[in-house]
Amino acid sequence: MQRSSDLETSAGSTGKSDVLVTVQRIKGDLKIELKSTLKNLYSESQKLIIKDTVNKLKEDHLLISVEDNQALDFVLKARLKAAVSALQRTEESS
Amino acid sequence: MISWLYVPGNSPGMMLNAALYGADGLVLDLEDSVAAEKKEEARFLVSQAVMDYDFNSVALAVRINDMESLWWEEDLNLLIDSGVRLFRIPKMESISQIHTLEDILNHKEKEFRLQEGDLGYHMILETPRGVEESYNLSCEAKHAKALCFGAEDFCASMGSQRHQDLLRYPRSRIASSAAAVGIESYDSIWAAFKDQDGLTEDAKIARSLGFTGKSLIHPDQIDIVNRIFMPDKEEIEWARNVLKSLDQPENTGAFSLKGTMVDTPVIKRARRIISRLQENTQ
Repeated sequence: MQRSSDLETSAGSTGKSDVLVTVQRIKGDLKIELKSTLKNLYSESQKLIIKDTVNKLKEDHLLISVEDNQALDFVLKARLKAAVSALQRTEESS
Repeated sequence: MISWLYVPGNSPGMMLNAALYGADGLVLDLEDSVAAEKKEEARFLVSQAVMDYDFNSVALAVRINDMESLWWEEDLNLLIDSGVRLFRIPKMESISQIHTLEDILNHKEKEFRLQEGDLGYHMILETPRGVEESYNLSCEAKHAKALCFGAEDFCASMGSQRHQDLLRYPRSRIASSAAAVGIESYDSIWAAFKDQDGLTEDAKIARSLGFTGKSLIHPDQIDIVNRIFMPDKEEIEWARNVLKSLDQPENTGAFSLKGTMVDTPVIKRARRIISRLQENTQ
């Protein structure tokens, strides 16, 4: 996997019921790295949520790292949107 | 509506159970409880929560950032788009702010084909200028549903410690302004959430000055405030007796009931007590 820049942004936290989402630009297609306290139970549904949210944001070339601490779906969506928005804004300004 | 519980807008854990504690309304907060560098992610979190999370039909408002800040317009726009219909706007103090806000809300109501007044806000008055202008602002604020007092910022502006003597005037003025235009009024939070005696005393004063409810910061404050702001047994019995006495044909104009004069203002007060009871027990 080739990174297109060292720039990364994140949103959220590893506190209870929250999730820390970090995003980076990459040259290839979307890549998701999940680290969760309930990884086996929910990893597939979390990946679907991430893909769906990223599609709606019309993004693709991203490495998304997720450190989940039992966050509900709406929290994951919100943190992902915030991290991507911060990345877009930082790219625009640089 | 009596009790409005503030919930920090960037804390998912605090949002999850907030609707279960019995407050009449929740205020998801993007202002003082959110650090500057977290404003955007809190905005996204509140927006997503409003769209996806079940708050158990409890009334919702969002306190956005004040109109002198960098964030308020984006707060307002994203959250209206997400379905928020009621806002709390901090540090309001000028007619020009009201006009700006009213223009945006009118425009958004048209854009979303809402009825006039479907969008609304609670105006938080927490500066000496805001307090002094409370009536004038209220007259211009067609979408305002309530006036709220912010004691902490008011005391900071005055350079004083929080003290009942200092708070009596702004509270009276705000409650009176709200009553003058026929909207609700919510007193400031009581920050020492472990001091329930202090809260009880503070809430009693607020009610006696005419506030219709109070803002809260902790679930333990809800029952105390709901109890204090509801009419008590004696008031309800008195009001029912006054209204029942009107059934007697001789009781017109001013008349006597158990040795006390009853006239139009007394009847009006009795009706208000019963109406308040009905509003808050539905």
